Amino acid sequence: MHLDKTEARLAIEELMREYAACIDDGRYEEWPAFFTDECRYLIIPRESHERGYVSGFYLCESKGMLADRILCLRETAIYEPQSYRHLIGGTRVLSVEGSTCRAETGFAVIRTTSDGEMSVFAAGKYVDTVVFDDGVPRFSEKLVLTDSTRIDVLIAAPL
Amino acid sequence: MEKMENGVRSTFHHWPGKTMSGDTAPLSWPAQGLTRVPYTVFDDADVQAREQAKIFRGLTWNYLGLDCEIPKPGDYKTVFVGETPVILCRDEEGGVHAMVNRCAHRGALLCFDKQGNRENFTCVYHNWSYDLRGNLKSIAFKRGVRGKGGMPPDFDNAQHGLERLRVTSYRGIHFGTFSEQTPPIELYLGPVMCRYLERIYSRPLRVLGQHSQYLKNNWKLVMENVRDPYHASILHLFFGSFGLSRQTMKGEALLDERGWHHIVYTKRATDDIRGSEYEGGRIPNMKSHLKLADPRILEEWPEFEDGITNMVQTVFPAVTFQQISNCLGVRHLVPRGPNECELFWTLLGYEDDEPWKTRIRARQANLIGPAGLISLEDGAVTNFVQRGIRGRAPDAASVVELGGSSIESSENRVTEAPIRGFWKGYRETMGL
Repeated sequence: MHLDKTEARLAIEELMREYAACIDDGRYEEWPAFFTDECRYLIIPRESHERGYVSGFYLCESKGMLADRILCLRETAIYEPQSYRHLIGGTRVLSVEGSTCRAETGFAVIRTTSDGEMSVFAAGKYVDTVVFDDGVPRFSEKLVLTDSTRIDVLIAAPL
Repeated sequence: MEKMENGVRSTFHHWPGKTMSGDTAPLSWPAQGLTRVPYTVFDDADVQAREQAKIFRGLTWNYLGLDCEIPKPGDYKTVFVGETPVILCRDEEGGVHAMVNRCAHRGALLCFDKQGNRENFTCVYHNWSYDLRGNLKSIAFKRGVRGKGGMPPDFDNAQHGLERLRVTSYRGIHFGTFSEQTPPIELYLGPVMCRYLERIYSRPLRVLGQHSQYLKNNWKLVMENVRDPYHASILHLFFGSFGLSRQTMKGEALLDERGWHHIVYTKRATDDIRGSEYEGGRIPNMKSHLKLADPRILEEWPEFEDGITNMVQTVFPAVTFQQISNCLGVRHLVPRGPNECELFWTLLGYEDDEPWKTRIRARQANLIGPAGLISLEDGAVTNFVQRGIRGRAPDAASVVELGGSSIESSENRVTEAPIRGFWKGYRETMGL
């Protein structure tokens, strides 16, 4: 499969919208399906990533680990109800090689907690490797690089 | 906030000089002693001002950083001692220094970045410049311009260096104190605390991650939480559900002779739950039916000969050293006013770690921190306390009586002795 840059961008933008809607709607069980079986999902401050640090806030190295995160979110994690609203920026396609694309997309997430308080919880960019399999795009790697090194209290649901 | 002075509510909470000069105690401790903690200590501005003077500027060793964060001459990092901004740096000869991050001229921050390498510290405001030991070396326009203006002729740079802290290092961990009277670090820590620091910090380390967590609660609620082995298998369902830590496992809650510092450790796979409260799901919130799809998150290797799989150690007042399986790290707590604080996490490996070890450490980091599978709840619950204590009766206090009133070390961890130890250190330093 060969994509040109514009086709890739349109497909990834569509993927990003679905991805954000999935999390914002609280359909967390569907979240792992956006990834390939072997994958890497990492939330890490941009500054840490640039320093070459490997540890961030959240690391999953397979679709199973993504599912485990959701299992724990539902079954073992204790926190007050909260929801996210992703504001997704335009996608920049960095490279297209065969059916694999690398792309960057800016984001901001507003978190609303049950007492009604809203705050800009996170801003940053997704640096994604997207693999098209039978025309279906999935993330084989998703780096969530946060602009801040600081997290407000806790991260429950994925970004 | 409840305090009255001559019947007039004090409105000068933001002005520490007012309360500190009088040196009057901002509260009286309940008669029951260490088994009660007056809630006033968690949200009162006068208490907070006194903590800065008595604890963070008093007879304590405060965590500053690690050797591996400032390996080369000129390397520095910024840190906080209580609320005081501090620079930790290494001089040309390898010596380590700490000074207040505040220009001696008009008080501006000298370093507003987190870390780096410099030959000197120059204030951006008026170019006052200091060497790596904090000595004032030059002043812009000191002699004026074309003979006009400038500093008085008798102005002596040597009298205007940065405020210095005394620095001591234990196994590559740097601590600072503002007091000349703070005892040597080995005495301050005591032999037991030294032994457990030695266990992890005797080999060259490498930073694997660094970030912070902003918490909406008083800093001491975090120190109570981290010294509380009671809650671990109750609040953190992941722990119990996946068998990572149960009260039935071998372990100890250790305190130093004074009770100021603590260690709680467990050894996984050393217990038999038959006949215990853990058998047959008698602990209501344990979900032992849960199965992980990819249990590699729990993959570990036996790193320490003593078999300890989980260890949390605090050094009074505000630093925690942890070993959760192979996930090593330091959590340094900084008060941000009476109602908030910031927890700085530094995750560590050893310099000579093979890549597979780094990978396992990184994966295990999922367990801890603001998104941690066994720690996410901590930030929530300490905030619940902060909110729960609002609008209280003036003498309201928490009950810290698990295990009686002792502050002794014990093999059982159904005890709040380490918390009482913290309050002992607190009362002794605060004079309460």
